[in-house]
Amino acid sequence: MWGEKYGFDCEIYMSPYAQYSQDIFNEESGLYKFAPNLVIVFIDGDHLFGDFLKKPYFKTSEERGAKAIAACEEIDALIRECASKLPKAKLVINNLMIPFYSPVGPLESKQKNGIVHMLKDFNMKLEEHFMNDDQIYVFDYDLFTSRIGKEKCIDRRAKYLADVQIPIGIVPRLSHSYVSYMRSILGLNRKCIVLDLDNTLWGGVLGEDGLEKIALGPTPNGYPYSEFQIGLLNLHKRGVILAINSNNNLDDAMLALKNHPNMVLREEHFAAMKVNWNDKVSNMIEIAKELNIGLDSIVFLDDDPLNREMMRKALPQVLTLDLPNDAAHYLDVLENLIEFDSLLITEEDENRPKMYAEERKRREFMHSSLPLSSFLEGLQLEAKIEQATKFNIPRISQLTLRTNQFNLTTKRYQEKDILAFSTSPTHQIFALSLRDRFGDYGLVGVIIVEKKEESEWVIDTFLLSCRAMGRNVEYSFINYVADKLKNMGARKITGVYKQSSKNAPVKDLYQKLGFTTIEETSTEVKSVFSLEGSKCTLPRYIKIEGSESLREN
Amino acid sequence: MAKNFVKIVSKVLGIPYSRINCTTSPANTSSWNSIVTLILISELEKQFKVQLDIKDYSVIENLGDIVGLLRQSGVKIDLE
Repeated sequence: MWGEKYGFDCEIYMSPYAQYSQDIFNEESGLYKFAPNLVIVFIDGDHLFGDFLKKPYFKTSEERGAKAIAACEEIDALIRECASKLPKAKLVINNLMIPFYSPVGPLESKQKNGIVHMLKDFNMKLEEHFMNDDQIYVFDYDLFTSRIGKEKCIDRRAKYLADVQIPIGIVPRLSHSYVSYMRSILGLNRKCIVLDLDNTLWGGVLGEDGLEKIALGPTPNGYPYSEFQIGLLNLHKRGVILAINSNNNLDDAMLALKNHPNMVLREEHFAAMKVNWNDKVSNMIEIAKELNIGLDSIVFLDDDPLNREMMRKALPQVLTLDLPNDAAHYLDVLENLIEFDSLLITEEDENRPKMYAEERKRREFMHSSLPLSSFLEGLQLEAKIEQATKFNIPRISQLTLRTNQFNLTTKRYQEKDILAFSTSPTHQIFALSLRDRFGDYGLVGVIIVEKKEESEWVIDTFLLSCRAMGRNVEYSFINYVADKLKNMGARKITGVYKQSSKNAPVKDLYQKLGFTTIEETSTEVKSVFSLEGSKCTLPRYIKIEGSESLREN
Repeated sequence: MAKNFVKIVSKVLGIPYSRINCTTSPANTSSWNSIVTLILISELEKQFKVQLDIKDYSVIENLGDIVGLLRQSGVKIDLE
């Protein structure tokens, strides 16, 4: 069921009733034997605060104030203990629902450290405790209950019968909220929203109604579309790529994007535009190809149920969502999306849309400067290679989690893993950043090597972000790494290609780079590069700058 | 009616139809705990459009008791 609905399967371990503390503090517990990727600790206000919630005004204001601090410290100790014993796992702890009832009625706001204040204080402190922790996350359960309606989030019958306050009916929705953490850990986030235009980005049909008559802006008909565009702009701001797939005249659409006074999204916000009279399925395939992303990275939004149905049938990998009949509810669709949720937003994420806009300019340049070699030379590529630092470790981890196509082994690493490699005497990490005359690609390449013997290093990870593919930067990258390892006494480098469902484009990479195949099965190819003699052909148009010397091993 | 009842019980308790009868109880069904009772009652209430009172829960010792409560609420149901 999970696989079908969310794109992954999972095994679940559940602590016995009211024994989560025992499970956490006992090193031999079932929890640690299970070794999960994600630990969800769901705390209950009644258990944590006891009489402070049931009879708050039988306590003094000082006692209530101290309780908020003590409860937070109790949870902090518990969660950090668990985190230290499961360094590779992410942990999610919930905050508490702020009560909607006070025993003193309207005088609640006059109470010092009243019941509402006490829990608000607890929630705020909990957030502060884990604010800068990249392993522990606070799930805003209070926000979750506010959205559903707090009264609907308490089932007293369930509480009295089974000591569970949450109504069974909301459990699926609550679980859905936690799925975004799992998707993020597994690197399953989607990257791009592909949009229709007529009756999706604006109301009406541009070709028939004309620019002046489409609904967009401060009218009852236009507001929903403006707000929807603002919602999309906010997603764009955090790194979601936007693209257009519309049956329209390109000139008409460009006119609207450039000249309509109430348009929120402009030409520069779109990384790809297929505005033509071709079928939308073919357009979608071209968009994926053009952006170098998988179809399973795309969410499609179109008001026309027929187009949606065609897309679902032809390209089930694309997540095609239903838009409500009434545009007033369009924004709800964006607010319910968990497909783009990430546990980390790096600088690269924020810059990604700008980079894709630059990429569109590059494509235009490419069309005007064939053959390919002239195009690549004209780009004036400059690569900078550095080691892992506290500044780039989040991005390196993110690349291992997200990169699918140009990824030789598809090993997924959390920040803690990368941090461990960066201090390991038997590992070296190389991170490549790229720029050209059109702009900065950011950190786009990673090679992690492991020393196996005195003179042999094995490439554990070799990946390149899709936005840097097709520029032959991999030749310069591997050559740089080979040179550095040679200086450290290496005589050969071994590279392994491990087949995944998506990395076919790099199946022959090591052979192209001058490696010799030594072992081959249907899913794995092992190749070796001798550092005594062989040399890979370097593209002369890439300038390389190595920023730091390597760590001594 | 009984068919729907058996279907729900089987799904919630994770046991085959053949094990479902009036004597099926938490004592002889390892998957049946207090949370499962909640889920079971909640699913049955939804299916048969009835609402059981909390005082009814305390008399539940086996499926026969649940059938009895549903009958009291006007649901026509038979179970061996």
